[in-house]
Amino acid sequence: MSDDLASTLINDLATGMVIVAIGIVWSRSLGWALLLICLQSLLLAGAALCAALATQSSHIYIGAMLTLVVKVFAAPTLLWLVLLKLPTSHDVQASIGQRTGVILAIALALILGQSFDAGPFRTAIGADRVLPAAVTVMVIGLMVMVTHRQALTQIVGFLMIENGMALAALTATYGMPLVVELGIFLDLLMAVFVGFVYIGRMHTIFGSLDTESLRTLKG
Amino acid sequence: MIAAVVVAMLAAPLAGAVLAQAPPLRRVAGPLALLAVCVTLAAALVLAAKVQADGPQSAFDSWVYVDSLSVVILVLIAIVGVCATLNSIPYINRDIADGHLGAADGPRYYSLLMVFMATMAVVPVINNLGIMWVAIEATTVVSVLLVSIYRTGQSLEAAWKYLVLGSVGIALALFGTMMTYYASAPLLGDTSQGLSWTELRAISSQLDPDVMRLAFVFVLVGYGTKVGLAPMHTWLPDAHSQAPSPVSALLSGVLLNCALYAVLRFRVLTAGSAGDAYADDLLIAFGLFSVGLAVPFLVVQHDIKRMLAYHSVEHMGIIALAVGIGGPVGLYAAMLHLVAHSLTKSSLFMAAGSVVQAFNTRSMHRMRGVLALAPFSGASLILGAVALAGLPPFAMFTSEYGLLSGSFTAGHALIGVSGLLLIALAAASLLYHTVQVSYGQPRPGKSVPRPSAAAVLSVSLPLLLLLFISIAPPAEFESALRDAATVIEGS
Repeated sequence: MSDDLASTLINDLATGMVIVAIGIVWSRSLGWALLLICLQSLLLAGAALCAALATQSSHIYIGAMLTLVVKVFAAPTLLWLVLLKLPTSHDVQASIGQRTGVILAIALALILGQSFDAGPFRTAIGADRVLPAAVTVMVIGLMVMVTHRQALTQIVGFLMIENGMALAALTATYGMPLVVELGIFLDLLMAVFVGFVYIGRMHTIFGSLDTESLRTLKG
Repeated sequence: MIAAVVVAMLAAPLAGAVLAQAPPLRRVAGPLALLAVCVTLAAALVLAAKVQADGPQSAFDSWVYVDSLSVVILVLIAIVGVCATLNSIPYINRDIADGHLGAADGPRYYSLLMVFMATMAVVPVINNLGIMWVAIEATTVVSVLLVSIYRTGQSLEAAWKYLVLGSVGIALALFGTMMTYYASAPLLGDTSQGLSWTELRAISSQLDPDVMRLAFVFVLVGYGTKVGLAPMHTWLPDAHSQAPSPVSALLSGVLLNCALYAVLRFRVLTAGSAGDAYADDLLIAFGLFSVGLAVPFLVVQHDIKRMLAYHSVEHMGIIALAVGIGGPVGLYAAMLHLVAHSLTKSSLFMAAGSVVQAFNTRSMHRMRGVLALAPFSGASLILGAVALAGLPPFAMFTSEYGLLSGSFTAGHALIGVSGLLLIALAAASLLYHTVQVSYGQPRPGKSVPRPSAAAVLSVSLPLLLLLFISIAPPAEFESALRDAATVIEGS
């Protein structure tokens, strides 16, 4: 694949990731949120594949494959299991309204997209829309974590932050060195798994996944 | 030889973790774990002796790099690890007997404890900043499981906050690490050496200062979350108070150091690239804010373990402040304070743990007359509090004096003085609370069983070591701290 084609495709995929991020803010049911985070990870894997095809470097291929295995399949599957197993409300329980959330997310995307052009970074691939997109995905992920009381959605927000980070790493430096990348995926999987265990326990103890129940420790 | 020692140091706890799960060995999981951490301690001491004699060591193609700074952190991990494991044996047995834990939780606890030890021991010996991040994130994931071992609503709450805040915080540190890699890529190329600390230090003056400044902000906020620097500290009092007390000792005594160690490594690179002032001003700001924020929470605190946890926020702030003030005196004070804090705080958490078990409450209002009821725990609480308050002859007096004098030399007199005033307030509240708990009228009819030999040994060992390095510090100890201070100062 030529460098120009690769950078165009990566630009488009990164923009797609931002749109999906806004979609996650918009979605009202957990099923949709999980489906969308899956889709976002798929776009990320696609971007990594483009970079790999353009550079022919083996560690980016491995990175793309790991993204597919861990972020598209393994992590969302664990969260699906929770959803299927627990007779809990499938509402996302955000503390701000749907419309406010989406407007806020779009505003963030526009502001960050405009303000990140010049920064000290020149991306390795020449895809100049990617770094702002990556930062936008991270910030929207953070917003989801802060505004959602549902434990599962908080994990979805965390996965969004991870996706944004991986996108930034991909464009700035063609990803991290392979050993580091492996370790990051391992940690991510373990963290999501621990979250999975805790969600089960939370449901047993409190009968819901609303993190409002987790407000007894103070001072 | 270095390679073999490092392998033994890391393999022993991992082997202990696996063996503790083997059915015939489940009954002796505790002693087995103790044996494993003793191997780790021996290996750490061998590394320390080697570094002392021959300077920094590296192995495995420079993936492992051990200098004086690593050695100080590593030996502390091992010492506190041995004490905490020793303390776990009576503590966990008691919890199982009281029904707070199931019989199957014992081996599980020791396995997690050993994996936790191994992940912490990786941090100071690994040369690659990326793997260091992986190891620090692994400490979060493992220690979260230890925090939640009681399966109550409150411990779940603490663990969830710790997992979420810890993971997000440390994701920011990954972003900072990534930027450092980005800064090095034009110079070192697209290789795994691009995150090797020794390589990066050698070229630190050529790293893009703008990128490194931004990287340091992310690293400081990210790892700072795990260090417990305010305002990212909110998970810390919850996690440290809900964990089993020997785990609190490890979390507070050495895990915070591991995260701080990562910040220090990045400080050297940032200082080399963008000058000392930028990193140091940030450290001073976060340090002073942490000390200041902890004080009101300390004064009104009634939960003994939360109080100790807020003291960790305070003392990590003091160390960050001392590093920020810098200079040979400030950095030496920072290292001395770090050592003294680890020893004192781990002993205090374990002593508090046995008091909590005896009174079956963490509320200090309901603990009275500890000295009369449980003379050993009471005496060690008082001694620990005196040491933590920075009264002579203990080492924290020296380090806090060093902080003050360093701040005058560096022209930060106002910062040093205001820091010291806050420290004095925190110390006064600590002594007040300790006196309330230790003396006072015990409830009539209340009796406390005699502490086991393991509990006595594990609580008194760190205090005795502290007393030793405070009153008659061996020349090797002082030179190790001086060398570590030189490492932080950079070239």
